[in-house]
Amino acid sequence: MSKSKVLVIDDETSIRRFLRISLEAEQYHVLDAASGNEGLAMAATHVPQVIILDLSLPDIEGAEVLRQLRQWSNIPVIILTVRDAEQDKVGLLDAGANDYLTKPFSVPELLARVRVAMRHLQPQDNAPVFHNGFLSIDYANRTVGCSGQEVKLTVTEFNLLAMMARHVGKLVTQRQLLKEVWGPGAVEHTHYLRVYVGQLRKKLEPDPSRPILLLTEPGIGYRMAILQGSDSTSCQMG
Amino acid sequence: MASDERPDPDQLLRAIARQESTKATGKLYIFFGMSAGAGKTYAMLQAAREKKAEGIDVVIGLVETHGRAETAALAAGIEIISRRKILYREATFEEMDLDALLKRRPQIAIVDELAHTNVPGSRHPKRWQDVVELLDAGIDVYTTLNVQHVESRKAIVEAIGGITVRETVPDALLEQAAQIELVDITPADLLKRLSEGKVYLGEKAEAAAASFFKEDRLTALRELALRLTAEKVDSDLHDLISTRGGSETWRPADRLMVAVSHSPHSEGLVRATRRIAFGLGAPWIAVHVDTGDALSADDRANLAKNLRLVQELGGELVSITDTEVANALERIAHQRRVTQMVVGRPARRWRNLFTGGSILDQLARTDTGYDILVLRQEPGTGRASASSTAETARHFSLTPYALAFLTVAAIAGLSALALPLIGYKAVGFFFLVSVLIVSLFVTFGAVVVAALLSAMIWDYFFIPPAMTLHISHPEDVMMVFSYFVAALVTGTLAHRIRTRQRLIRQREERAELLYDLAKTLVAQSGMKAAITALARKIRPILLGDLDLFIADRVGALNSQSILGAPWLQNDKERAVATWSYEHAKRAGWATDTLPLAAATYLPLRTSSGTALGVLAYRPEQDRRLTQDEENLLSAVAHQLALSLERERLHADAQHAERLRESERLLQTVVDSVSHELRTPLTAIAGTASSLASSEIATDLTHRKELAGELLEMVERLNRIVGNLLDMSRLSSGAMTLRKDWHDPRDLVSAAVDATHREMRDRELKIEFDDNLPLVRVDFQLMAQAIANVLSNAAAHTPEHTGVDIACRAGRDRIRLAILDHGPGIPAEVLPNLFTKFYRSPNAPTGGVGLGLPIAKAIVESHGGTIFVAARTTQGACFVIELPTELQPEVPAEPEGE
Repeated sequence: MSKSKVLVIDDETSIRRFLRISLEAEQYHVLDAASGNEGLAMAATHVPQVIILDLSLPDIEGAEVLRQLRQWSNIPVIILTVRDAEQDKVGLLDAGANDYLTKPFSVPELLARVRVAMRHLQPQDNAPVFHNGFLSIDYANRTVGCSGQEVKLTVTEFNLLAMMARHVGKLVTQRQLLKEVWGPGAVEHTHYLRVYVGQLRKKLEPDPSRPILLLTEPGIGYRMAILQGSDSTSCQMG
Repeated sequence: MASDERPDPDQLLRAIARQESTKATGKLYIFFGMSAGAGKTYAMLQAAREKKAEGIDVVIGLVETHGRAETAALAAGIEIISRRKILYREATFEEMDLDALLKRRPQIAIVDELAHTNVPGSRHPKRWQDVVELLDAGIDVYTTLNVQHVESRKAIVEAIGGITVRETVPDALLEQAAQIELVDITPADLLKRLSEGKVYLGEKAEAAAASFFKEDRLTALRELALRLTAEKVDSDLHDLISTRGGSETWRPADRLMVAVSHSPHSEGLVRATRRIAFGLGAPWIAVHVDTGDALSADDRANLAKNLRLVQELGGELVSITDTEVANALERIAHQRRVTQMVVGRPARRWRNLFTGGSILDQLARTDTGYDILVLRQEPGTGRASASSTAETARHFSLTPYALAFLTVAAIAGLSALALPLIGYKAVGFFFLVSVLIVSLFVTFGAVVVAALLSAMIWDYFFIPPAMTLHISHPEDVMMVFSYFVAALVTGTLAHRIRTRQRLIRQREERAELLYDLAKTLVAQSGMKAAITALARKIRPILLGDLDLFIADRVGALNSQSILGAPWLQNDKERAVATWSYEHAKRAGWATDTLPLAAATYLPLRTSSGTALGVLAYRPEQDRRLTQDEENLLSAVAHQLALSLERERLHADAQHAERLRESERLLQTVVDSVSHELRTPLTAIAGTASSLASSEIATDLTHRKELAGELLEMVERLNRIVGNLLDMSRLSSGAMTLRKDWHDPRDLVSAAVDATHREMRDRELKIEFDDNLPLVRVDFQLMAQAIANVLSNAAAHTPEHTGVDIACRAGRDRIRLAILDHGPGIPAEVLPNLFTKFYRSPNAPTGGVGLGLPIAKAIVESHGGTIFVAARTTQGACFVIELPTELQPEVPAEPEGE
């Protein structure tokens, strides 16, 4: 199998260089572009598996690059942003970006996001039972297990958990969750999420005040973390 | 004498204003003639061709060639703006396309027939108003005009020609003209041209023309035209001399004044005053004294017409309220240093005997510093005499007379019953009382009738011999006579006192209303609330609706009105509002500009003359506004403008204050930060160079250690930069809160995550109440605030000491306590804990003294509080309290499948 290709679109030479070093160390084939138009051209000719896109580019806005790209391609896009741009982030995620990283970020963080993006490129695994660390979900019977013990969830709680599980590792925006679980009329009612995620954490997290499974991405959405084996932590009892 | 050489400042100012205005606005060239057929259009086109040959951009807005080939030939080769078609009463009319012309923006626009009346539905009722707009836009205009269409000459022309002139152009426009070119032709030549059929008079005019075009009449018209042109030249010359300030003689500062009322004679007086004033080159003012007498609808219309005439003729209008007309005129004349007062010769009126003579008599009696010009009352036009009869008819209302009669009759009846007890002499006192009572309720005429009637009844029925007017005792004759005089005088006085009281009350009511409106405006925060409250108050008084358009800070008028009234939801009304705003002039219904609009639009003018917005008023039904209502409407617009301006100024001041604050902050930042930035930078440079050097970095554990050091320094830098950014944004007010419902647990865990590196050696104990409500906060900012408090705890306590976080739900707030186990906060540090850039004396390096101030700013912007709680144990305890709002609804569902 040939190496997976990652396209980096960023006008800062130092960032391109450091991303190239880090990604090549992980056996990715790295392409880079210093402007939006160049990036779009390279995406079309080389068809990379993942694109890392900086939002502030010299020629066209990162948001515009994303819009043009999405007209013909579903290549996963990870956005690089600065702090305090939540509204932009949310807009871009809803417009088809797959994930984001806030500068400054660490390399392990970046690699994890790239891996998740690659994984979701694979055909959806249609296994009837979902496993992630201590959590197991039986989609057919609509039951949830926590370290092997069944946990009783309400219909809405189950739907919410299932939605996050289907995108495990990946960020799901508030809007996506609300639309999927409560319907299009509820996309503004973020407090539903606060209440139900709180309930899920109480039932599933080992320590609900320090969640490790259902993570909050402040102001943007939620992410179900990929747990490393079930031995280190276990579901809370009771 | 030096002082004698000095030009009159008023005149100088006017001259300068005219010069300046000719610079900014376009110049008006009028081709002026005595009548149709003089060849004005021809002369104008010839001049236009010459200009075009000079390379000047000349465009024809509108020219009537009336099918004459020579005129049409002259127009050929000059660009013509095609006319606009207007549908009115199922017929199509063509008018000059003002907008197209404004858009085309030539240097010179040719607009024929200045006095033309536009078809209803055009922007302005008159073509001269179109021309004014062209001039305002900086376009020079060439136009034609006949002497009969000059407002101040209208009456004379009507007298000379025996015709009615309907279309007039205000004299002020002629005065403004840069040049008036007389197109002269001798009456004989004109008659010759007429007989050759070279003069177009319009189909209807043919018959009338026959009598109009007589040599003697034409000669009179020609003289009028020549004189007017000469006057203009004279006045231009005078302007030139006075601006240059030469030692040329200058005229003493004349100022004329004329009183205006609803009387039909006023019109003639106003025109005459204007004529004399122009001849003298003097300013003139017209004074209207509101005596509080109730006016009929006709009189009100007449008054409004006369006042409008004053404005059209370029006079200054002064309106005051007083029962004594002469007194009021005297006062104004004195205040304004009037030199000549124009008065009409008074009609003989018997009532003047009781009111101290005619106004002229009263004015002449006092010795003030002005001359009185007495003019004969101009016979005026047929219309004037018609309204004159209307005036007499108006005064005659039967009710007060009936009331007077009934009261006198009733007193007479009572007196007849009481006669045996009191005697006939005492009856006189009863009658005197009756006249007094009557005078409190009825008109002056009725008071006189009551006095006369009571005297006669007393004489006839009571004074012996009864049942005859004959009086037997001479002393009784004296008694009846003195009774009559006493009744008349007391009655008149009582009547006058009552009228004055009513006036004062009215004035008070008006003042109170204005005060009330002003109060309403001040009391409401925000324009929307203010205009809503105003509209509610005004509705019953003005019988209509109000709405408001406001301009934004760059000066464009918002297309949405504040209240969003449905009657403003169409482009036509909005276009009128925009016009009114851009020209800072009133427009729409009941005005001369776009009068077919449903509402009238008043610009909210500031003291500097620019408009900040437009007040829209739509009457419930089409009617004429009274002077009082007009005044009220202008007052409302004025108050709104003031309050808008105040709001703007306040915002500007705040903005300037913020700028100053941020400048000060910047200075402090530069001073304080440079050191704190350099420390981690030095460490990073050192560590990185160690890593790069092959000698030092061979050992793997060593390298890991160095890399860890690098990361920590970088994070420190990042935090400093973040804090600086937050602080500048918070203090500049540029930060807007993106509030949403959030779980306090999420806030705490985000803060804990953000500080995990600083807290890595510490034991964290976190406790939450089970029933914690959601809070409405800006997540990013609030998490930052909590993280700053945590980081502060980490920086000021020894390593390996724990930190406890507890979050409790209160009645209307949540309380987040962060308790460390360090040495606590020294008493001398406490007061400065939340001061920007304050660093406690023994603080470790790594901060810039912004963490806690930022936390405080964030918490307070959410309506919460942050403070140091009384310590129960050792260590510092920071408390953040956030208000909890009414919790949002979440759809409930049963537990289980």
